[in-house]
Parts: sequence; structure tokens; C-alpha cells
Amino acid sequence: MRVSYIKLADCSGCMINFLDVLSLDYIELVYCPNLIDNRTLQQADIGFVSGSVCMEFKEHISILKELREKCRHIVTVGSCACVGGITRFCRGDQLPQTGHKTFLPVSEVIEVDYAIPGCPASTMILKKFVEAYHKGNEKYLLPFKNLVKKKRASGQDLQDEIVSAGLCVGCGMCALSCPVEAIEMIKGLPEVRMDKCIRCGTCYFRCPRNFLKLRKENAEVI
Amino acid sequence: MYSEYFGEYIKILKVRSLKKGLGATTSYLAYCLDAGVIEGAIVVKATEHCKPEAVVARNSEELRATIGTKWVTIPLIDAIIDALRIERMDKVAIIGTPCQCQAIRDIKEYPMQLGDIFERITMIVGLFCMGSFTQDGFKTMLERKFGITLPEIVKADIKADKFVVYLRNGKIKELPIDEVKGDIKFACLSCDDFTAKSADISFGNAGSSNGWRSAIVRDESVLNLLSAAADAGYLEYRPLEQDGITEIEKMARDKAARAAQFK
Ligand code: SF4
Ligand code: SF4
Ligand code: SF4
Repeated sequence: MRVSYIKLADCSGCMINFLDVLSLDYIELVYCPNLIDNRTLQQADIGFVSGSVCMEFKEHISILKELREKCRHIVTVGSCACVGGITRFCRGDQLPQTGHKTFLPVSEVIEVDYAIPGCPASTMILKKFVEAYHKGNEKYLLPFKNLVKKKRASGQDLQDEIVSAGLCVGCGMCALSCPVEAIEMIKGLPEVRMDKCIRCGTCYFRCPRNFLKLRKENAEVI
Repeated sequence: MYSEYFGEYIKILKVRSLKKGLGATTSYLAYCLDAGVIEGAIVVKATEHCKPEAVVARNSEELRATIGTKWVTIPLIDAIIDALRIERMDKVAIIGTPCQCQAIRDIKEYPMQLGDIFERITMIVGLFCMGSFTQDGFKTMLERKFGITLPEIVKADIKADKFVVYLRNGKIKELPIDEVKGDIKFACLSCDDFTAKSADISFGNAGSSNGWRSAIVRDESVLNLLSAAADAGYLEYRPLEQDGITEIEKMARDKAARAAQFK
């Protein structure tokens, strides 16, 4: 399976976790300027993208468009690429790139096929995704496919769509998965501290009651 | 075999404990702990006044303290962290309601968090469930419907069509089950899983009586464990009669129909 990997505005955490995927013997990395020397984009099965798109940085947009053309499927890796994540807090005018101000998730710029959130996306989920893709396990891939429709996801969405909607069963998996421990279980229900939330969407994707939606074929807007 | 109401399963049995003071579920778990199949079991224990607390049971003695139905569901995460992160156990069983089993199955299938902690949950044990209360909801229900406060009760149970509470002063109060139904958690109304379809084995009262518990086995290794537990004198089991299966199916169908209204 031929894969490409490009890194936009991110911290590299996702790429470091992605390195483990390369140990799978059927994976051939054909393009990744950060890891291998090949400088021209190749035809590939999957084009992985991590990081959000800096709209002032024309190269980001042009390479994404080219990647879309050359890859059968585009997969966003990590919360920045999927839902904006921590780059949703960018204000611009910061050194060293004072001109860089506007950051958007990849699905706002090109068509994306699957989104794997996480801050960073975990090694295990990346491996499981690639294995399922390799085997053509559509059922397993469905939640990732549906998540593409979500352009932003934070603890607030969990609060609004699950807890306030009366769907929360109080399992606590959101609190367990939050990378910054912004969720505390109070009286059996999650309480999100929005001042801590980095808008990674992990809790939102994780929640088993949300999986009811994410597992549906042709789920509408989620 | 597959059934809409039982999930993907191998066998439907009825199980009875042969250990004094243990139920079918706890006998099975006690065997697993004693035989070293698991190092710990994450269970909910009712502390004083029916207030539940998630704990890690490391042996059958600790398990014994957790017997009985809990009417309130609580997050198991504190016990999960104790067992997996702090004590670093490698083989842990988790016992929970269908929604909790579903949560654990999801987190095992889609490991979003870093690290491998959920790989080390090696067995999921489900309990049949028609609904549960929140701690506050349970308290309010007792006050409004039974006119008693939480500290007064020692135990609550379902007997036939009655919700029965046992008081500290020895008295017993009961109400038809339909009258307390309206007080269960709102989330339970949209839950369509009665038999914990994502568990490796599920236990429940429905379909069995006289000390027997129904059990739906979904994993070959669990079946072997049951037979080993029977050989070791912890429990006995037989195939569940058709009547029992029909009864479970009926309850599962009722629950699914209730949830369908919320879809
Ligand atoms: S609450 Fe935690 S897991 Fe949820 S979006 Fe915020 S940081 Fe991510
Ligand atoms: S993961 Fe979902 S169902 Fe579980 S406690 Fe969090 S919001 Fe509630
Ligand atoms: S009815 Fe469903 S949601 Fe409610 S406690 Fe039981 S399994 Fe959980």
C-alpha cells in the first residue's frame, strides 16, 4: 500500500506516532519531506495530512490540492487537521511567522475521506485504522468517515449534544480520554472545564453514545 | 449464532453458585480470580446507604463485599485507573451494565488515548439492565414514592412486578414496578441493549429463578472457564430452557421498543 504523509501547521506529535505505522510490512512510504528524500508527490492510496491549513501560506493550499489529485483517499491525522484543535486558538501576529493568522481544518479546503482525531492521534488508533483500510473493513472505518462532516468538536459539543440532550449514560470514557484532563465526573456526569479544553474533539469522538450517530451509514450532519 | 437481542453468542445457559454467600456472577468471577485468569475485577460495591462505589476486587473475599444489585450507575473510571494505571494489572475483568460494557468495547476497538491500558481489560462481564437511576434520582424517588430517606434503607430489589425496599428497622416496603419506572435516568430510555451485547458473558435474573441466573456466553474461552469453574466446585450450569430464553427476548424486545421512540 502506497502512502504519502504531509505535515502542515502542527507540533509533529502526530507524525511521531505515525512512525509506528511504517513498521507494517505492507506499507510503502512514497512521499514525506520530513522523513524521506523524495521531493515530488507520487500517486498513492492514502495521503495522510496532519496539522491545520494556514490560509496565508500559499504552499499549504497548493500542496493539499496536489495531494488530493494524486491520492485515492485523504486521511486527516490528529485534531488540528480534523477539527482545528489547538490551532483554533491562533491569533496571528506571533513570531516567527507574524503573517500567519488564519488556520482551518483540512476538510474546509479539500475533500477529506476519513478523519482520525486525537491530540496527538494515538499510535494504536493509527495502526488499527491502517489495518482496517488494508482489509477493506468499511464497518470499522465508518466513524472516521462520518467525523469528516464535523468541522469543529470540543468539550462544549459533548456537553450540548450528549449531556444536555439527555443521552449521557455517565460511563466516564470522555474524562478518561481527555488529553488535558479538562473533564471531571461530577454526580456521575461529565463537567467540562472549557478554560482547559484544547478543542481536540477526542471526548466527542470517544463517547459511546455519540457512536450511535457516528456508526450510522449516511449519517447526516453530526 | 446471532440474535438481534443477544448479539453474537455461543450459548445461553443458566448458572447457579455452589459457594455459600456468592451469586452466580460472583462465583464465576471468584473462580477467575482464584485460578489466576484475572488479577482483578472492577466492580461496583454498595457502600453505606446504597451509595455505590467502583472498586477493584483482588480476591473472592473482596468480591463478596460487592454482592447485590446497585440501582445507581456510576462511572467506573476511578477503579479503572486504580487497576490499570496505578497497580498496573495485566489481566482485568470489568463488570457493568450494557452501556458500560459498550463503552469499554468501544474504547478497546478505537483506542484513542495514548498507551495500552485498555488492552489489559481482558474480560467484559455484562449484567442485564432495564434502566437505572442517578444517585439523586434514586434518593428523590425513595422520598417521593416511598416516603423514606436514603439512610433508612439497607437494600432494594425487584420481586416479580414489585420494587421492594428493605429498611434498617426491619420493615419492608413495596410498590408496583410501573410506578418507579418514570424515575429512571433519561439516557436509559434511549438505550436498546438489554443483554449487554458487547460483553463476553452476560448474567441476569430474567428467565431464571430459584437461585439460578441466566447467562449468555459470547466467547469460547469464557465457556471453558465456566466448565473449569464447575469442575472446581464453584458453580453448576445447564442450558437455559426455551421458556427462559423467551422471557429474556421479551424484555429485550420491550426495551428496544422503548428506545425506538427516541430514534
Ligand atoms: S474536553 Fe478534553 S477531550 Fe474534549 S475536546 Fe476538550 S480537550 Fe479534547
Ligand atoms: S463518554 Fe459520553 S456517555 Fe460517557 S460520560 Fe462522557 S458524555 Fe457521558
Ligand atoms: S438502561 Fe441502558 S443506559 Fe440505562 S443503565 Fe441500563 S444499560 Fe445503561
